[in-house]
Amino acid sequence: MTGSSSQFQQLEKLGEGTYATVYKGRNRQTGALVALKEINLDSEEGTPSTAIREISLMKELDHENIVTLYDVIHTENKLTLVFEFMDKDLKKYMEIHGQQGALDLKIVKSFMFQLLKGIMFCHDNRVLHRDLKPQNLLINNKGELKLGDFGLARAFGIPFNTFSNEVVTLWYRAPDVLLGSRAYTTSIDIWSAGCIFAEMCTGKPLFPGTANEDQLIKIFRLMGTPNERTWPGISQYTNYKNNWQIFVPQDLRLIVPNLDAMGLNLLQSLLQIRPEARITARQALQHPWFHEITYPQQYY
Amino acid sequence: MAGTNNDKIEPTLKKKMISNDDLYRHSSQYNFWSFTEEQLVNLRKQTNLKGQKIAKDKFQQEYTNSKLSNPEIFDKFQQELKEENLLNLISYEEELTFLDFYIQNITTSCNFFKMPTQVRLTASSFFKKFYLNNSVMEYHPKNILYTCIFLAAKSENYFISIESFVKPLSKIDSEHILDLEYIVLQSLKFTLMVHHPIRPLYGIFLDSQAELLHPQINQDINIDKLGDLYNHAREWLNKYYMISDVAFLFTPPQIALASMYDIDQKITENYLKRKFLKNEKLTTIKEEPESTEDVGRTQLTTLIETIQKCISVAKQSHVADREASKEIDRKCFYALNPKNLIDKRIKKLTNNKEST
Repeated sequence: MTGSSSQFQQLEKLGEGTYATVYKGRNRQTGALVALKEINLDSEEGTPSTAIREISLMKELDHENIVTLYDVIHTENKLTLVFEFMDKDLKKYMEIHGQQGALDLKIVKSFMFQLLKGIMFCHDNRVLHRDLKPQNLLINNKGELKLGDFGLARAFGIPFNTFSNEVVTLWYRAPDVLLGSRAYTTSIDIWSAGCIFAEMCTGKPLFPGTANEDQLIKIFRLMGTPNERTWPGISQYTNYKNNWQIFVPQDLRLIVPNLDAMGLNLLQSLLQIRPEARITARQALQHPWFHEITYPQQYY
Repeated sequence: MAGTNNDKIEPTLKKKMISNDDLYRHSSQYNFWSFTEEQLVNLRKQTNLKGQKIAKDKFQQEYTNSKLSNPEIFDKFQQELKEENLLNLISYEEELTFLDFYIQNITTSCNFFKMPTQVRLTASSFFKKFYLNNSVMEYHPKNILYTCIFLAAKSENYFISIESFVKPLSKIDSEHILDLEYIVLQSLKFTLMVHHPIRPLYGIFLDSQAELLHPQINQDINIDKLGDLYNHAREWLNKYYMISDVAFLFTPPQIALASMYDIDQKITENYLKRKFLKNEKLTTIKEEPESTEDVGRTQLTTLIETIQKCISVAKQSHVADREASKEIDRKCFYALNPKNLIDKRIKKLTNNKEST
């Protein structure tokens, strides 16, 4: 393999991030596996500001449910972030271990608990992730889930087109953001957690929208079309329209039939269409659904 | 009965809450960039010595080269071209003066680019941190300063392209900055998150309104007075925070309180008493543990001592001595470019010789 720095041997490509390529790597001395995130240094602007932001945040966020940044290495025209190695992301995990994607509820519970703990730690540290999705949640073979890819965290706005041709997905984006809100709060990460929760239960994305407007309609179709009465102030949003088709709220049980009543209650609290009504990560972790929790390594 | 129940629930709830102090102890600012005064002095002295050594090694290499290529001149001017008569390195005190002078340029440059306060403060934090571990005899502060501003702008999400950044600056190309970017990042140990006292000051300003604006508490405090105090405290921070070493020695809220205390001791003490001695009136109730007040009092006394200490550190003179800095700048240039020093001296000696 070429392009490997002296300290690490570069192995196979793991994926394309928002602004970088990630490889599996092995520490030549210790044999330990790592993830090498390679960022091309722009001769025009030096280190991309997304990388600067990610390094800055990862250096502060030391938590068991957030991937650890070990080191930053500078080689020729590249900057390499050395992360702890995780076996796969949640998307792949669902494909492999799920029944047509759907995970066992005990695993869902463990993953949700860990996801919310990671989110709570970010929020306690005044950090918004802003781009939570199954591809950014990493799982290791101990059944631990960790938040990764902080490339968009706390940045202003979320770009549609990034440095690679990958388009940032809309599926996990909160309705207030879709409506044009610039006042991002912690509640946007909670919405994403709700979408991921449902997806782990069913194996299918909850709101697979194709564009901003379509994404909103898919949300309304399930949650009901909001109006000034159900959501005071909604007409002030830039993307508000007064001619949306009127949908009535559906019963979440029909969408996620395998989830028990307590779990549905939690899902409902996460997926509140009004941002102020969504529960916080701390509250969610206190939810009775988590009173019985088992870790998934027992189910391998 | 109800009382005992409450007692049982409260400690477990409190245990689960993470205090702001706990969060701060997690921060890189606390873990990598907080020192005692003594540690700070030692670190800077070490760095100065390291710089002197590097400059001396560099000099000796050039000296040997020059001696080899101009043996007759070195022979002729043995005394004048003695190593110790040529070498003139920057002392610990001079290095401090030089950096105090240079840091002023951050304000000038950031104002020129109309950058927000946050960028200016972060840039100066980067600059000061860089020179804790690197000497001006290794890296001239001019280019480091601009690199710190450029990096701080990225880190604080204030985008400026390298082209428009470099354009108004004299004698600096974008490569100069981009080449130094990683060196600065590395010296900062890749920790870029900086907590400044501006936000805590605003928080305390809001909280002081809630605490102090009751007619029954204090009749002569009103919103205008608090607003004035806040504005003057901000000016105080502008004057002393960036230049001094307080950021290495105190936490952001301590610095914020120091700025208020120095502007209006009475109101600030009043506010702190309200925060720490809140239970004073309750001590007559038997259930209330008697020690609460004592704990509050001890905490308050310690905090006020810290605040006073912080004020005195902030006000330690950091005069931008332009004349002295010019002289140090010359030394700095020769420390970084010893060949120029030797060549210039040789030229001077041989010219003098010719003219006489």
